[in-house]
Order: sequence, then C-alpha cells, then structure tokens
Amino acid sequence: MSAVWTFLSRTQGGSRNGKIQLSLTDYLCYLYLIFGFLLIFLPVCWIALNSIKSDFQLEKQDISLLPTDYSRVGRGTVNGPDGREIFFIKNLPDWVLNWTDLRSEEKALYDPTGFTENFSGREFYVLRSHLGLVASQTRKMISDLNLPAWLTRYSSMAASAREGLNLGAVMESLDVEQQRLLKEYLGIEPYKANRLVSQVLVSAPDPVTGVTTLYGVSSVTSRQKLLSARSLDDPSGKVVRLPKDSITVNSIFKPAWNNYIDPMGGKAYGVNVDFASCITNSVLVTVIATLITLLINSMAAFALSKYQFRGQVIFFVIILATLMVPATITLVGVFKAINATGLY
Amino acid sequence: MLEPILNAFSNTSWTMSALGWPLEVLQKFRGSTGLPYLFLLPNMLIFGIFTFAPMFINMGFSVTDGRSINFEQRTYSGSDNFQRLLSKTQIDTGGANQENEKFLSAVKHTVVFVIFQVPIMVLVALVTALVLNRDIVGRGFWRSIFFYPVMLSPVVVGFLWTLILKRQGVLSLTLIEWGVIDDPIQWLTDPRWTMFWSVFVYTWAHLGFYMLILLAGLQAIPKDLYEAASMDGTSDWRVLRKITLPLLMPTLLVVMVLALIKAFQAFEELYAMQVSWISLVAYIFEASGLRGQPTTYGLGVAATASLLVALVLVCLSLLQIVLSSRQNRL
Repeated sequence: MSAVWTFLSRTQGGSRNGKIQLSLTDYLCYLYLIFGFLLIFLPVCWIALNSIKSDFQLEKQDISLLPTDYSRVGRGTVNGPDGREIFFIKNLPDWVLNWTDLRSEEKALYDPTGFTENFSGREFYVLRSHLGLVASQTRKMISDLNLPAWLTRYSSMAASAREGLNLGAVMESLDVEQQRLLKEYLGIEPYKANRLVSQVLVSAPDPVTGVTTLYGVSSVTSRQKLLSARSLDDPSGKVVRLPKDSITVNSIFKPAWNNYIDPMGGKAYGVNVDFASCITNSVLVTVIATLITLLINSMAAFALSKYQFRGQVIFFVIILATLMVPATITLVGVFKAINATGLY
Repeated sequence: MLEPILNAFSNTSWTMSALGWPLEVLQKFRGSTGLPYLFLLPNMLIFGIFTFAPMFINMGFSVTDGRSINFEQRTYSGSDNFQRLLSKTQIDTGGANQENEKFLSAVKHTVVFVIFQVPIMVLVALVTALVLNRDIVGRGFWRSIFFYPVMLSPVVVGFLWTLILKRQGVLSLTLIEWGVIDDPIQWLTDPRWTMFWSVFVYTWAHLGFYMLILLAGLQAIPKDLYEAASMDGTSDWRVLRKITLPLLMPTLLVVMVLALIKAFQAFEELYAMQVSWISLVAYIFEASGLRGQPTTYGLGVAATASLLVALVLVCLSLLQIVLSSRQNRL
C-alpha cells in the first residue's frame, strides 16, 4: 500500500530546501491538471453512475447524479354500476406497479392471486384486472360451475351468432361477485377494463387552501410549468394544476443492481446476448492471440538478432512494412483471405 | 521414489533441452544456415496471409466488377472503379440515391478533420507532457489519469460520449437547466457541432499515447542543460523556447506524423458515435457492403479507395521512419 502511495505521490526532485515553494507556473500547472482530470474522469463517472440507474430513470432523462426512484403510488380507475371511480392505493410493492412491464419468467416468481386476496372491494377489482387475473378466474369459474363453453368466445362473436344464446339466464344463476367477474370479462356496460397506473407521489401546498397535501402526478420531469395532479385524500375530486416549483418529490436512493446481475445470466433487456459467454470469448481471443504473438514473434526476433543469414535485411524490412499497412485499409482483402482459408 | 522424476521435470534446463533437442539435432546435421528461415516461417506465414496477400487481393478487386467475392464470378473492368470513385454516383442504391459524391465528401471531411485534429492533438499533448514533466505532487497519479482513456476500447469511448452528447443527454439538459440554450441540441449530428465533437472526442481518447511519447522525449533531454540555465537565471519561458523545444523537435515531428497517420484512419470512435459525416475508412467500410447489403460495384470501389488511402499512408509512414531514424541519430 505504501509503495502505491510512493508511486502516486512521487515528484522528480522533491521540495527545495525542505519547503515547498510554488510559483505562478506551478499554480497554472495544477489548475491545468485538475481541469484535465475532470474532463477525463467526469464522463467515466457519469457512465458508472448511469450503470446503476433503473431503466425508468434513464428513460425519463433524469440527470440527477444518484440512482433514485420516486416513491410511488398506484392510481386505480374502476368502472362499475356506481360509475367511474378513481382512487389511490398506497404501499404497493414494485412488482405490482411494474407488472405490465415484467417478462413472463419474472411474473412467474410472484403470486398475484394470493396478493389480491389481501384486498377487497374496488381495490380488489382493480388489482385483479391489473394483474391479469380476470380471464383465468373466469375460465376457472366456467369449468367449476359447468357454465356453457360458448361464454369464452362470446365477446368475439358476431351479433347474429349471439342471438340463440341466453346470457341473461346464465347471469341469473350466479351470485353478485360472480356476475361482476363475468361482466368484466365480457366487457358488458357499465363494466369496462379497470386500470392501475403507477404515479409519482409528491407533496405540495394546495393551490386553494395552501395546506400541504399529498398528490399523485404522472411525471415530474415534463417540461410544462404546471402539473396535473390528484389529491390523495380526495382522489375523485377535480384535477388540480400544481406549479412545478412548488412540489416536493419524495425520492428514495435505489441502485438498480439488476443492470449488472441480469446480463450475467444472459437476460439483458432487449439484447439477446449472454454477457458471460461474451467475456469468455474476449478472454479466449486475448489469451490465444497473446500466446501466438509471443511465440512467433520471439522466434522471429531470435532469428533476426542471433543469426547472420542471407536476406536478413529484407526480412526486417518486410516486418517493418507490415506496421505501415493498417488493418482497416486491407479490409476487403482480409475478408477474402479469411474466406479463402475457410475460417469464415 | 517419485522425487527424482519430479525434480527432473521441475528442472528448467531439462525441459528446455526436451523442447530444444529436435532443433539441436537439426543444427548438428544441416548446419545453422536453414534455422533462421525456419524461425521466421510462422511470422511470415501469418503476415503473408493476413497482410500482404490482402493487399494484392485488394488490387485484384479494384480492377474487377461484381457482387461476389469469388474472382471467377467477377469481370475485368480496368480503371472503371477508379473513375467511378471520382464520379458523381459510385454505388447505385436505386431511387433515392444516397451515395452521390460520397467519396469526395469523405475525402473533404477527413482532410478537414485531420487539419483541425492533428495540431490540436500535438499542442495539447505537448502542454500535458510539459506539465507532467514538472516537479509536481502526485506525478504518477496524474500520468495514469491522462493515459487512462487510451486503455478504453473505442466502442466504449463512443458509447460514453454518446450518452453525454445525445439529444436528451446530460450536456443538453444541463445547459437548458442553466438557461444557456433553449432547445436540446443533437451535438453529434448537428452540422455545426459534429466536427467539433469528433475532434474533441478523438483527441480525448488518444491524447495519452502521444503525451507518453513526448514525455519520454522530454526525459531524454540532458539535465545539465537545465542546471546551466538555472545558474544563469534564465526565465522559464526562455528555457522552454531555447532548450526544451529545440531538443524535443525530433520527437515532436515523430508525434506529428504518427498523429497524422492515426487521424487519417479515424474510424472506430466516430462510427460508434454515429457522427453525421463519414471518414475515409468509414467510407471503405460502408461501400464494401461486407456488413449490410452487397452492391454491384461496392467491393471494387472499396478496394480502389483503400488502395488510394494505403498509398497516402505508406508515404506518411516512410516519412515517419525517416524522421525517427534521424531522431535516433541525434
């Protein structure tokens, strides 16, 4: 460790008279060095910081330094006999909020059915739709209660085909909850698809009363001056317009280590490459190329330096000449050569 | 019981002679005249196949037409490819022909790039080397910092700067925040900025290499000259002009020519950043059609262009060899 420090802090002559004297030139030099250091290291630091930011943060073009995530709240919209209801559900886990973005193997890690059972009423309905359970539960109900099989095809049927089928009679045989499930599945008015969206939780003074209130907004990075927000306490009330500079975002520090872990397992988002095998390839190429280079070049160097033979100068010039011809220039020819030798 | 065998294996001279005995036998019977050729053979084979043969193959491609890389399926066309290179349309890509005067524009842009990049690179490398050669605290640290970008792969450099210079990148967003600009600028493709950032990033990435050569040149200047100068009370500026620069001149010339050769072949970083102009090597790469759609004249045109570029580079390299041999004599 001390050897490293000696290397790093080494100077050419050491201080004069045991005392460091700095001239104007020295100060300019240090200024230049610090400037160069920043110019070289800031981009590298930026890429390092970006590497632990979540996709969400990168997509939002958020230029904050640290990997942060906003505290989130789920905003549900439920359509039912009581009309359209809008409400917030706090403290939902990330996987529920991001459910629609998850891939099927990620979805398999969670238990949506078990999760929805903790809720009731409209919260249950919106989560059931959001987590994609309506279709499977309807199919289960149809088979459990021996309901007619045409129900699964009903929504895609033509009007003429529907005529002979008695949907009303089927509805009669079900209880209220089962009716609701079937109506949501079939999309019969007033039931429409329920939606849950992830919103950013902010606190801001109420534009009318001035009392600090919690709001849900869709994005805090938009370039508009006013943000449309709904109060968490009165979600079905009017949408209020909040001035952007009055809001406080509750952000939490949250590095996305998945950016490192996922590529190792070959699961890089949108890219079908296994990072581990890429590394293996690179290491293989490096090691083999180095070994071959060392072997054949030391052989050539030995021949050129230890022997005296006819054509020595010519060989030396040939080897020097290869330095002159850059690989990019012989691109077409190299391709042909590799093709002809059967390597490609 | 095993020990003597193990000892025999760990004995270096034993293993060496095990590897060397065929050669010794050969030398005993045939004399040492053939051996150097044997040692040079693998080197020559690899250089022959992957450097010299491609050059001649390139010549073959430049005088033939055709889509295939097999010479049987290509027809002799003489100097057609050369004329095509200088004419308006080189590769007919159909209706919206994007390839008009592409070679001439590549030449023009590359020359502009070289004219700006080489002096800036040499100047910045010289200043950095002079600063790093001084009596500063943490010299090893500063030297490794300035050398660091050289170790990064060109693709990484391209990606790193794209992240900063893209439309919604950190530079545009920060400048908007500070109120310097109103709308985000696409630094890498905006015609007013693309050359500036190409030169900047290229200098950023390759500075350390030239700095290192200049630093070695500076250290080779005898210390007693400086001692004599300081005894005479010479000012720093005069020392720089009368001692450092004249004695550094041969190294500086070599660095200039090396930077020229390198800038002339600028490709990887610029290609990774997708700047809006194409360099000569990028032209060769794109025209060849080895990546993407092969075109009728693409291979021939690319081969002709690479021969022309190779000619310029060989001249520059000869200049470099002459200069460096002069430097060695000094």
